[in-house]
Amino acid sequence: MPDNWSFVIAAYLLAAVVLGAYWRHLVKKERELEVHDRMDRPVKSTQSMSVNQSVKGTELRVPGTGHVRSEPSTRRPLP
Amino acid sequence: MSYARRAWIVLWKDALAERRSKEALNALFFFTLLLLFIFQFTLGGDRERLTDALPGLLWLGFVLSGLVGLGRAFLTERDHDCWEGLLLSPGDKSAIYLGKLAGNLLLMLLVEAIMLVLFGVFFNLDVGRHLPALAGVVVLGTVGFAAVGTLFAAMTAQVRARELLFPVLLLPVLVPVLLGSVKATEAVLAGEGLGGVTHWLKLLAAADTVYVAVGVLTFDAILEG
Amino acid sequence: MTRTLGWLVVLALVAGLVMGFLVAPRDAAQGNVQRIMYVHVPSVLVAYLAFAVVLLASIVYLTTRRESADRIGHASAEVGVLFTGITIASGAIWGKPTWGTWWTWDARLTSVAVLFVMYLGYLLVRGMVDDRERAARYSAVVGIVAALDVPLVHFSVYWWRTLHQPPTMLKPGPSAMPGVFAATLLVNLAALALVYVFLVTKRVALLRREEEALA
Repeated sequence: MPDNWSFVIAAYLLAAVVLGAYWRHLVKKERELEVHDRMDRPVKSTQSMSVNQSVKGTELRVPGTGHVRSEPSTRRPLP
Repeated sequence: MSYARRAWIVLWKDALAERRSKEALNALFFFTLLLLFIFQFTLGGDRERLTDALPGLLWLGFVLSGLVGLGRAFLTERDHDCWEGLLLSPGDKSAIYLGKLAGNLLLMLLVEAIMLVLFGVFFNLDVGRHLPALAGVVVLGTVGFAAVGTLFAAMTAQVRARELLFPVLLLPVLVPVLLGSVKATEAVLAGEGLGGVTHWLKLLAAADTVYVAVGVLTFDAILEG
Repeated sequence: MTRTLGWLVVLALVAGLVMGFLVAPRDAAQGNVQRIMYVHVPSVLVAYLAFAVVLLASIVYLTTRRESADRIGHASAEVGVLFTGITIASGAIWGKPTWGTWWTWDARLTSVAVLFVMYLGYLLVRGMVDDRERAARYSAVVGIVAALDVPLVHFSVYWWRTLHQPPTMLKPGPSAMPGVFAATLLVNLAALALVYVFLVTKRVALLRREEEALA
């Protein structure tokens, strides 16, 4: 029986694509939610401080580089 | 009020409403007649092929009319805003499930009996000769059908895409019942009797038990809120 | 924790590929096409695992109403449907060179196809019922019915295909099971099971965040 490697590759590739696409979809939605959370946070914190203090533990991050960003009001001028 | 009495009341109310309006029964009778015409037009050219397909066509007819009939099972409750009444009734809601199940079962069996007669007339099917065995198989299959059907009908009654979701949920789950019923019906109509298909009958009985049990146990959760 | 899990998944997948392509020998009867079984069989087994988890989560949810159970059931059903799809597709891809046709109504393909449609229905309920709490209850019921139906579907389809019919079909999967084949299957099974755990964990976390965002 001929070896039909193309079929073998096709099957493995299909599995990889399906699982990979789902994972990418999850990662994308997670990022969208992070952005959404960050945009809501300044509004939320002025409205209900006590509630939100316990809800989230993640810090503000700069989009693109992802490093931690502090609130403008808490930054001190350089000496 | 006892459990059995509550179930009986639900059944009695539905039966009475149906007897007064005859709405569902008339429409379903007409529907089965139309189905027969469609079977004839789509498959009837070859006499022999049609005869071979009769057990399958019979159950196809049962399934199609069953979908229509069950799809309407909780229509009155929805249209006339009676859900609150159901929800507020005291005690175990599963009594309502059994009452509804009994009502749907009776309606489906009635329609199926009519369809058998029509098959006998239009397709020359000798129903009388094998009647006891045939009746047994039909009842076994229909109980399973009605059991899941009633549960899913209650579930989808208030969902917005009800007409789509109900058959999509029901049909895959019914595959074992369908296969078993058709195979057993084939054997009966071929004159072989039920001896050779006891495994199918056991499967049907098992399916029926499972479906009714799940219905009784989960109906409460479906009705809630 | 997810980072270590992620690396573990990559490691296991590589091990699986190495076993499947380099260690396992060429099958005498089917040729190299048989290697598709290292995707096909573990996929269906992981799918069954996923749906067993859905059953448990559904029962726990209906009895305790704990939202974590609902999330696990939801996530497991999604990943289970994915693996079921992979099972069917890889089975068809294997079937074309082996049987000459993409699809046959043989017992295993048919029962997996029914499984696929049943749990697609579960996901449809999730998508079409707007109220989250109702969707949770309804899909839990569907999850229980579907899971209990699985053995019934199996037997009915198997009897439908094989009784009174000569066994003309090759049973999918390695015909004999010398040690190397079994070991390769096991490694790939472990790899795909880890993928399942990884994806479900991520999905559950995402579900929780989605709920918090809506709150």
